[in-house]
Amino acid sequence: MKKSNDPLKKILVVEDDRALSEAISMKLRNNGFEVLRSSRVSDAFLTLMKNKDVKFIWLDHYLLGEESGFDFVVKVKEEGSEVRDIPIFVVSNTASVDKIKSYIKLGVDKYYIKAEHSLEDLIEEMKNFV
Amino acid sequence: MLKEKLKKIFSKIGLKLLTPYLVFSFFVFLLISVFVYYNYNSEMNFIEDSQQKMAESVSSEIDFFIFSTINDLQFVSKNIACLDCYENNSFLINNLFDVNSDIYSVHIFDRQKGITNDLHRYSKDDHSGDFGVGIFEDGKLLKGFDRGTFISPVYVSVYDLPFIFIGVPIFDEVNIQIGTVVAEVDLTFIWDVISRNKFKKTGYVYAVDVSQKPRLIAYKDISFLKSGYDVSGFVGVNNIVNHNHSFSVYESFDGKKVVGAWSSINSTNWGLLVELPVKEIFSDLFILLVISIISILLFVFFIIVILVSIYRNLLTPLKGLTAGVNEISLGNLKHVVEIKTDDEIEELAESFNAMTHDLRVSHNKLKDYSVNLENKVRARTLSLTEEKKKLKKINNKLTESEQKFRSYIDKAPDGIFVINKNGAFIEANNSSLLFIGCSEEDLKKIKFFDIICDKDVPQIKKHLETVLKLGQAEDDVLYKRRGDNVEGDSCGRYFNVSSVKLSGDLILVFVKDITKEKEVDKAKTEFVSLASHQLRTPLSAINWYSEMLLAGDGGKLTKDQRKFSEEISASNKRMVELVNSLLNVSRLEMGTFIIDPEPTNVVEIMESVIKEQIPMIVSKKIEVKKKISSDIPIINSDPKLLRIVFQNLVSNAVKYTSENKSLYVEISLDKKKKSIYIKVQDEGYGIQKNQQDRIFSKLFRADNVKKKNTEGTGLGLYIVKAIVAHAGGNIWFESEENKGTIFHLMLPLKGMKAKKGDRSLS
Repeated sequence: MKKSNDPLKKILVVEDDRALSEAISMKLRNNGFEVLRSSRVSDAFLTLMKNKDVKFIWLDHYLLGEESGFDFVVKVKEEGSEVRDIPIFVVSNTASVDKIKSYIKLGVDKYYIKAEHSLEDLIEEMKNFV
Repeated sequence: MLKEKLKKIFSKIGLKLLTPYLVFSFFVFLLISVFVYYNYNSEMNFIEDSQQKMAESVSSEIDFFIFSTINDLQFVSKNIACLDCYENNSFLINNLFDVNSDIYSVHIFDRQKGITNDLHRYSKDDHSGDFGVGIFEDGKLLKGFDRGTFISPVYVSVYDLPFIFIGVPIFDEVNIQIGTVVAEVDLTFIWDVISRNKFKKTGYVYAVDVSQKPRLIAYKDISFLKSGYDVSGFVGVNNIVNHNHSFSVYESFDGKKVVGAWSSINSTNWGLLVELPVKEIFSDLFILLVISIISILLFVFFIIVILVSIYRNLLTPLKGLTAGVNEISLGNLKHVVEIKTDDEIEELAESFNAMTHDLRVSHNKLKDYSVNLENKVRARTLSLTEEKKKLKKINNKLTESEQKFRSYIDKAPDGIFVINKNGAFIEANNSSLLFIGCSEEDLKKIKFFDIICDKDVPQIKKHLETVLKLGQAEDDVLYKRRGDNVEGDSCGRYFNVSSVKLSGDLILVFVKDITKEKEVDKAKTEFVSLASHQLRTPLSAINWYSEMLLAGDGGKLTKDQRKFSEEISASNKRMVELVNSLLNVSRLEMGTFIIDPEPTNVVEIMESVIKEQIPMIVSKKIEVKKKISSDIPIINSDPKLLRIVFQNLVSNAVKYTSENKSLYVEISLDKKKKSIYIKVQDEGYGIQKNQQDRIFSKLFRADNVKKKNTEGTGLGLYIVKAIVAHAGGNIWFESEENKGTIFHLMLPLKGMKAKKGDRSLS
């Protein structure tokens, strides 16, 4: 829902848990963002291609289908310059050091463990990148 | 027989002794022969020489006699003035008689007239009627005598005296012979000469007239002369006549063989012979021969003597000795060698006898010893047999016992085997074979390492080292079955290996297949991990939704709604904490957590942790006392892990204390133990004695706090202990119920070693 006449900034939320996805989206909308939701990589990527003006990506690791958040980042970074520089937060419950390192190497901006942070804090952080 | 005898005589010793003697004798013999021959030769030469010389000397003597007589006559002849000058001539003749005593009469003949002077030394009548027969007749010289000088043949007078006529011509002024002076010469002188000269013993000299009718002139035997012995044809005479070689061997007048030498008497037709019967020569030689023969006989005699001596003195006793020794050697030690020769051989025999005696004595001693020994052996054998029986019984019992224990070991579910330090199998029970999956024979071919998976082989090697050094060790390693299952899934099974050092280089190993336990543990951990992860998702949802509720994102809340939401949020936070703890536990147990050492300020972390607890400290009005040394160094440690430890200890101390109590925290440096010492002391509920041993166990909460406080996972101290263990430190406590608890912690200054893993603890 638009809060002002300026178009709202788009945020792509890629999360497979429905409850969490809705909570995140609601909070984001309350903060004045437009939220595009997806629960699997293929779908998320299509959405991104259709909405190349997305300003931020919120990405979980484990998603529906075969592909993981990892594959999504790879795809995004391979794609043209338009989408490559979009800031990405990986927000997941897994804390595998290898995974974190791999994501950082790929070029994501931050990695957070869901259970350790409040939604509020996460969104505040995000605002620094948008 | 003879051969035997000879063999006897010509013994080896005998020959040895004889040989030099024989050789010596042979040479002597040779010398004698040479000597004899030489003697013979020189004898002959000497005889030849001597005879020659004698012949010559005697002939020259005779020659001189004749020659001087002729000279005397020639003097007369020259000094005859005239053939008729009787007085003158008589004077001359008488002078001649004075000068030459051998002239008995002188007769001067005129060639035409006949005898003119005729003077005799003695009486005319001393002569026989046939005086001058053959020389002159009727006062006239016969033909053959009337010219030149002549010497008549020899006549023998009535007095048995020899004489000759020598005629010397008288010449006139023109050297024509007008007459002859004839002298009657007495030849006794010659006979003297001849008889005087003897050659050696039986040798003799004689003269012969070798003119027309060879006649003896002088000879040792007058009878030959008297008869006017005709010596023509005789060898000796022929030699002179033919002028043969002066010296030769021939047969003389008397038929005896002689060696003879001759010489001519120059002024005459006479010859002189020296003869020596060969018999005399050989008689000398004969003596030599006799001596030689005697020597040979002596030689042979001495050989025999020596041989006999050898035989008697040496051989017989030696043979006796040999026989005696043989007898002894056959075993008859009582035999005594009897040699009574009173010499060294007897001494030798005596020595043998003494030796035999000693031998016999030793032999007897040996026999005694032998018998004695046999008896001892018999006795010993008996006792040994007894012992053997006893031992056999014991052995049987032992075998029984061994078999019993062996069966126990074989029946054991765990694998029990013995290896040496190189890992080779010495013995193994049935379970081992089952685990390993091969037969007993095959086991001998492989080593312990062969059944351990590659990645755990270093660990197992270290295990063996530890066992050999310290006596025992225990480890969990991956192993693989052999035999039919070597390929494929080989490394999925776990052994718990517990080893004990045996004497020597042997190790007794107990293996327990803990695959199941490991799997169970793994399953548990995995389950926890997965569960934790799965749990977090809805927890996150509850967390955020409560957050949103409380933030007013869903609208303003009533007081009750707010309260309920806060409860939900609080419980949720506890859930999150529990899940985190569970996750830590699972990571600790799986060993998948990280240690990331960095220079750590222990004091800072403690201060920070205490600060976190301020809300509760304030609300419970707890007094905090700190005693922190100023010399605590920075250590190389993982601050996250230390934080968890301190958090647990401090939060426990605060949580399990009632109001108005104190909390005491001390940090100091223990130089001796090279550690940082930390004390966290409270005046809280304490831990009851009978539960103290479980305080560090997983999910354990003591009864007294369970009653008082439902919050708490029971995992905190378990995690603390695990972290402290990994840090190489020590944690222990003292506690009394309702009095309080003191937790002591030692952190080594050397810090923590980095550890790779999947996750860090949260």
